[in-house]
Amino acid sequence: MNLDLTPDEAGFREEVRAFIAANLTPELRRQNQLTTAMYPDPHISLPWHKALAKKGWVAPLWPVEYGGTGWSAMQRFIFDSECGVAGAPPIPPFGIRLVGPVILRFGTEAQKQFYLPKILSGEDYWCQGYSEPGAGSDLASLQCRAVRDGDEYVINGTKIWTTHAHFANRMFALVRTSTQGKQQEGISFVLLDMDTPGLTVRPIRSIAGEHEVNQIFFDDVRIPAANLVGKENDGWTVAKYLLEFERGGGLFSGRHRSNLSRIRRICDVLEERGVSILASPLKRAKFAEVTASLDVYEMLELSVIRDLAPGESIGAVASVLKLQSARMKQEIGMLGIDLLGPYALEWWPEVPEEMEAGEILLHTPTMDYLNGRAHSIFGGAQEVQLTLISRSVLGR
Amino acid sequence: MRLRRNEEELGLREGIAKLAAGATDISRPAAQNASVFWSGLVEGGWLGIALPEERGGFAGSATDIASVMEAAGHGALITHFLPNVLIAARLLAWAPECHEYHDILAAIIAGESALAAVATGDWDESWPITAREEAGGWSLTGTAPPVYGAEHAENLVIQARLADGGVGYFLAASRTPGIVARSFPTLRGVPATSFTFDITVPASARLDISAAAASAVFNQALAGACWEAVGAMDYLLRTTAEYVAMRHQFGKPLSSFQVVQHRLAEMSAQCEIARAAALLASLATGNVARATSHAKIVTSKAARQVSQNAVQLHGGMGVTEELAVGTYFRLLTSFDALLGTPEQHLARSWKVAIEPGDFRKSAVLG
Repeated sequence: MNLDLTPDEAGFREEVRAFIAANLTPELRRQNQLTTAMYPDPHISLPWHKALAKKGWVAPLWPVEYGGTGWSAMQRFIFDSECGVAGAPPIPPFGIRLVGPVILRFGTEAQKQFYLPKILSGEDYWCQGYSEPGAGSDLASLQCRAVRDGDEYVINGTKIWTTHAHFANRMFALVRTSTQGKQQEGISFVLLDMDTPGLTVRPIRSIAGEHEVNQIFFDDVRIPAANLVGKENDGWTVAKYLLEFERGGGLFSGRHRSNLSRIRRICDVLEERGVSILASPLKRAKFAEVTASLDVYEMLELSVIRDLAPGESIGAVASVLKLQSARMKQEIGMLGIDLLGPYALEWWPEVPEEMEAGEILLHTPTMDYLNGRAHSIFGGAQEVQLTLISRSVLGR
Repeated sequence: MRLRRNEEELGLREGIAKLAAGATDISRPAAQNASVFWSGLVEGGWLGIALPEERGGFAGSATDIASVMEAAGHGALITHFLPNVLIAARLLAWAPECHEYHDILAAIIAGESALAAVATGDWDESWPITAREEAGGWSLTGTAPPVYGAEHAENLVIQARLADGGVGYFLAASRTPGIVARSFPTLRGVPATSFTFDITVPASARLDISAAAASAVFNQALAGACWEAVGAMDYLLRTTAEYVAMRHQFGKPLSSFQVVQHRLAEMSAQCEIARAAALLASLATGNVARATSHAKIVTSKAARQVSQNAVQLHGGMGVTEELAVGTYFRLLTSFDALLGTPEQHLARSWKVAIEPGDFRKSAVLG
């Protein structure tokens, strides 16, 4: 075993760095650095998405014939690491990483032709209709009803925690098409347009005060039956396939590292103002402890994905990564507020127009800490992940 | 980048695993198993793994050393391999004048207790042995923290701080008048020895080992120690999973209670993390001090969690000598103070990774 990059890998890394240097503008980088939500707003992520799309690098997990890159797992790791460390905006996963692979695997030829190019180009912006007020961790108990009526489905019910629904023009959703048999057997996976009559979006403010998620209401929303992906009542198969990508398809160590660097930068800014944070040996030790966890987490990510072929999902160990990535996010969040102490108390649920970027930066650790709590809840709560892990330990 | 073992590395791991399995008999005390394992390592010529060919070894890779240490940890087979072969012999092997000590190195590979190191890595900045140059020699004084593998050693490599702030290494016979040794049993299951020095050695006893070479030796030893902990944690995870599946209370297996399942899952996650830590420590090439310190910090935490959960889930039996769990618990407890405490590694991390800004770069890609 060794960690030395092969000449090809080293060459690839140089190519990625050159691409970043040429395309990641200081303005994009700055805006991403001020982002504390899970995903930056489209005006920040889309320019980067389009630059990647132009280069043919936006969908590493897709098959080459549909616009994928054909990268090895190692290349994906290098790419994500370089982008994260450089502070490039993360691309929201809903199109490229979630619904894209689903359409590729279960979609009809017509669906592929229609949707995939628009996902690649960034023309379409997707959101995910999975959770409901009564169906969180127990996703299979979802109630949002779709009734077949001729060539259409009529949808009634509600979805919640819908990230960026207020920006999206399309949604993929799990709906109940049957109440017969087991819960899992009456679910279908559908695609719909956000401007369909009867669909309304209600903003939900996060604990940090930000508007990132929403609740969606469906009142007799009619969608073409052709928008079904996979078979009717077989949506659970599709949902599980997607969840594997949601829980393990992403590489986060680069993003975590850029959050950690941001904390150090803030300490340096405060130092210039005469507030010495990192002179304290105790605070130095805290910083070192989190950095140690992050370095090891990065190795964990690498060792988990090392043998993946393009498009392959990582299976059961996804739960360990999901659990650890959330903990990493939260450890870094806690480090920020612990180091800053009273300087982390200032909280602007809505940032005033006139506030300067340097000032906004100082408040990012507080927001990061608040938002970080969601990481052990979404995509399968920590408790669900632990149960899944214990099953593999106990061999059941 | 190659994260899979190649054929050769796989073959070695298989050989070592067989040896370890053959040495492990749960009806015997752990020390006896360890001595059977040690004899197997000696007879199989495995000890040469850690030394370069020109010093009589066969220069195994970092991965090979990982294989030996992981197997040792899994069986709680604690031998002199870490302190005498991975540390003492390697320190001596890097001294340019080491050809003079060919016999000592040969004896080590032959399994004799020829050499121990009273030394530590560069994470310890308050090492209490000092050396003062005198007419024709050096005077060494001070009391060192306990070291392993020295209870029968004939010779010692002694690390000392020099007046100019540097570090010196000296070779002395352990029976030199002025060396007071006290050996005692430890949580690790093997004796440690604390030494007090008040001796004068000739100028020729000074070994010309560079700081970089010594750092490399200790960093590699640290990686080895992490693998040993990984092996021990894996054993605890497996044996605990079996125990909670077999043990019944309230009319059902313990493993049917979710609170038990989640403890087990936490143990499993920590085992995965520790394995990643040990991999990082073994394979890092750039900032090795960063990688090894970070691995040690994380592995210590994981070892605490896994060993404490293992005892907890074994209930009353976990706090007895009736099962092997106790042996592993004590072994993993001793890991914290092995080759630098977490505090020392946190301080080193600040110095080598955070203050200079290196932490902003990937730990794996550099």
